[in-house]
Amino acid sequence: MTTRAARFGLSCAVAFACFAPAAARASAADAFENKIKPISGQAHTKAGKLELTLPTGQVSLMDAFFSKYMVGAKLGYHFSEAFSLGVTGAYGTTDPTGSTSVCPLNAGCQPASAPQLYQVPGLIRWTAAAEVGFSPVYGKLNVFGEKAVHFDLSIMAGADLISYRDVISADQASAGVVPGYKVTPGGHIGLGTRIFLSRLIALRLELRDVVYSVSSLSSGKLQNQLFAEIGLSFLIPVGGSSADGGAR
Amino acid sequence: MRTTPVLAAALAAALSWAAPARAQLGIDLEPDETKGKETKPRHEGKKPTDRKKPQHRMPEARPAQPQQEAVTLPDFDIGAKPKKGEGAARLAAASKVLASGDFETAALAYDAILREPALAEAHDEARFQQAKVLERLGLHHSALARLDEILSKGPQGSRRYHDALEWLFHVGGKTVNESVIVSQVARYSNGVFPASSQDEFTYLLARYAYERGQALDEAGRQAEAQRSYEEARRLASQVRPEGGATTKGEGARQGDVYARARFLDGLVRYAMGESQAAVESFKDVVRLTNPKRARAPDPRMRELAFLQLARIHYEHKQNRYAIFYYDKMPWGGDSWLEGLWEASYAHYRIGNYEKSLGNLLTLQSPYFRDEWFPESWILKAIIYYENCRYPEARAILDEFHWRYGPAHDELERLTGKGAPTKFFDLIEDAAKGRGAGANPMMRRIMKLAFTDANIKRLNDSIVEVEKEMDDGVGRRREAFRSSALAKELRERLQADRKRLVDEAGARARQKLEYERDALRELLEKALRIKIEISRKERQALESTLSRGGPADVIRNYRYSVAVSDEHLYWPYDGEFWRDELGTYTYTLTKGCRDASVRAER
Repeated sequence: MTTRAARFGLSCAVAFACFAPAAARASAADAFENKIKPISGQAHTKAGKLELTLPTGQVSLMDAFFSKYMVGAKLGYHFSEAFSLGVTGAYGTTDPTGSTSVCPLNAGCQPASAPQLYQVPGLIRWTAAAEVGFSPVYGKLNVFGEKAVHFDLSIMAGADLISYRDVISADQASAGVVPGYKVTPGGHIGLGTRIFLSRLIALRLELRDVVYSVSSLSSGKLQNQLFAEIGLSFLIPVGGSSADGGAR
Repeated sequence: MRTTPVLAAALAAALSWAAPARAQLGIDLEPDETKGKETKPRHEGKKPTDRKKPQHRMPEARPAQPQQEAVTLPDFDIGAKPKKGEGAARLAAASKVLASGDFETAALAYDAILREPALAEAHDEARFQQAKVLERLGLHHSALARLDEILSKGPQGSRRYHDALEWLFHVGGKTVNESVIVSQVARYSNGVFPASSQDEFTYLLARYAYERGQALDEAGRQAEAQRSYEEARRLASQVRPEGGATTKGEGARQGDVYARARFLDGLVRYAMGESQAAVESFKDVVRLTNPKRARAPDPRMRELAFLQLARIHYEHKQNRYAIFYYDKMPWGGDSWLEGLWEASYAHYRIGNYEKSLGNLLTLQSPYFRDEWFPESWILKAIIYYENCRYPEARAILDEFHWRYGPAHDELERLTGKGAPTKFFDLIEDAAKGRGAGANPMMRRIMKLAFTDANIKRLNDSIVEVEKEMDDGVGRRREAFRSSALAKELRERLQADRKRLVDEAGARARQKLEYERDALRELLEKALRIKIEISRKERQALESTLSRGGPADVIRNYRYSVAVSDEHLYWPYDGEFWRDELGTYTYTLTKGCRDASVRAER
């Protein structure tokens, strides 16, 4: 497979300029560079469109204690091909991970008990977030020399509200205290891609790192939760069309 | 139904319009024997747009002017009343200021000498030194005017005549348009040129003779045109091969002057009907501009040489050779689109409809929406017509009418009114996207005007002169700006601008009139093709009725999307990527052409 990509926007160019070697940035081979845009008649545009991702399925990655399975929805608006603003929410269930097994010296391994799990963080019930997306890369993949698949790459950041189960001490757990749920502000950053299935539908894949604070912990209060997300996006034109003028 | 004769005519015309090939207005068309001596400025017999030499250019010829008020500038009082015989001292004082690097004051100091009749013995030197100072101030056109004053006196009239000739090339090389010195070179062609500029001079003289030949040709004076072409060829052959190695000094134009002379020789040979000799000359240019071996790289000249080679081969129906040369044109070069368009005709001639349509896809992409290739729609329609794809052919012609019908009306309206000056103002507005020129249709039409290399060059000169007026003179120190010298320079530049604007306007009008007529022919041709399509459709219908079933003339073509190992197949889905331009191949999946017939073409 071969990948080619176009870069949009001055900010994007600046961001990439930090990483790209000089020769790569000023290709003498491209006589049209700086004269005409990399793409004309772009087939898959986002500017002026509402994007509804429904449903989104989220699964946590690399959490030591709880695997989270969440279902949600996302609604965003693309001000331009590069920038978007959106809100998202997800609700789900959790399962203790395999690593929560307890193996006493004189007995076989067994799953951690509920009081033991009350003492560890990572059980999240729901999340809600507002986020800004920046999508500097639009490209296409040549699949086996037969089919072209269009995609974009984006980065996003946002503010979250996270509902999590509180953490209690071993003594409290032994005393039969059951922890309640708390809501705390947090934030996230993420990377995402859309694989365009048609002009109005895209498969959306994201990787997000959600950061929030668990105040009950005596140390390591700041928690990271990594989520992988998949969803089907519907791009609904509501504003002006793409500045590109559309395809032939 | 072919449009190849139209293209051939267009190619022939285009060959004669190659970048340096077209005559600027103001060329002296009078027979040589009627000319005065070379040292006299020639005013008689020129076109109305010829540069007139205003009397006020000659300071000593002016009526006595009232003594100016003293303008005191740092370290130098240029207003003190001089005594006769003080010239040397004043020159020395001015040189001292010049040596200090204060060019503005130095220019004023020399001007003060020039304005003082009592210092007549120092005028010659002062004028030359002032030209040098003006050049250092970046006032190239003003400097050229001063040099022209010296040169007009002839070798006997000025001790600085030969130095002025040398500086003519030096300053001319810094202007955007080489043509500004061509007429001067021609006027002073009997002067002994410095060895360092001899080849450049001979080349410019050859170019002048060629342009004169073109103008005579256009005026229908073939015999004189032939003589002028002969002269151009003789002069071009005098440019020495080693001359190219010397064109690297400051102010010299980029490229190898010998290669340019060979290119000019090719154009002259072609104009004289010697196509084979022209081909050899253009091949020489290709060799001389080979980027791996060239003494002075000149990609533009190389591109033009390939284009001319392709055109000559196309004209002689050597389509595969033509395609070979069209393919050699650098991707994205100045003439690349033109080459792509012409190559699509060559591909069409050999039955390679896929590549032909692919090239047209590039030309008609949103990238080049403002480019002017109306005939590309006709060619596209013809290809579909020849493959019995009548509905598509009709739709293409409908789109052509929709796009270019209003353009033709606009061209009719534009060319039917207005003085050249206003005409150029309109072009300028369109180029800058202001006023009436902001209209997309107008912008497109005016862009068309700029496809004429001479109009483009004239426009470049106009912009340069305007910049010299506004920035070069207008942004100097107050003492300089308010001086009599600045006033004189501004007046002279304004006169220069007016002359250039008139010339550009006249040329633009001529160009648009040509395009208007060509477009009218294409619209008529489109109509004829439509009638032909209707006839064929009727025949097909009649055939269907007589057989009692559909006449199966359209069949699926066998095609493959396989590409060589060096290429990658990207299916086209309506999206244009910059790096794909020019590489498209449009697959015709069905039609009525016999594959074996296609292969034989």
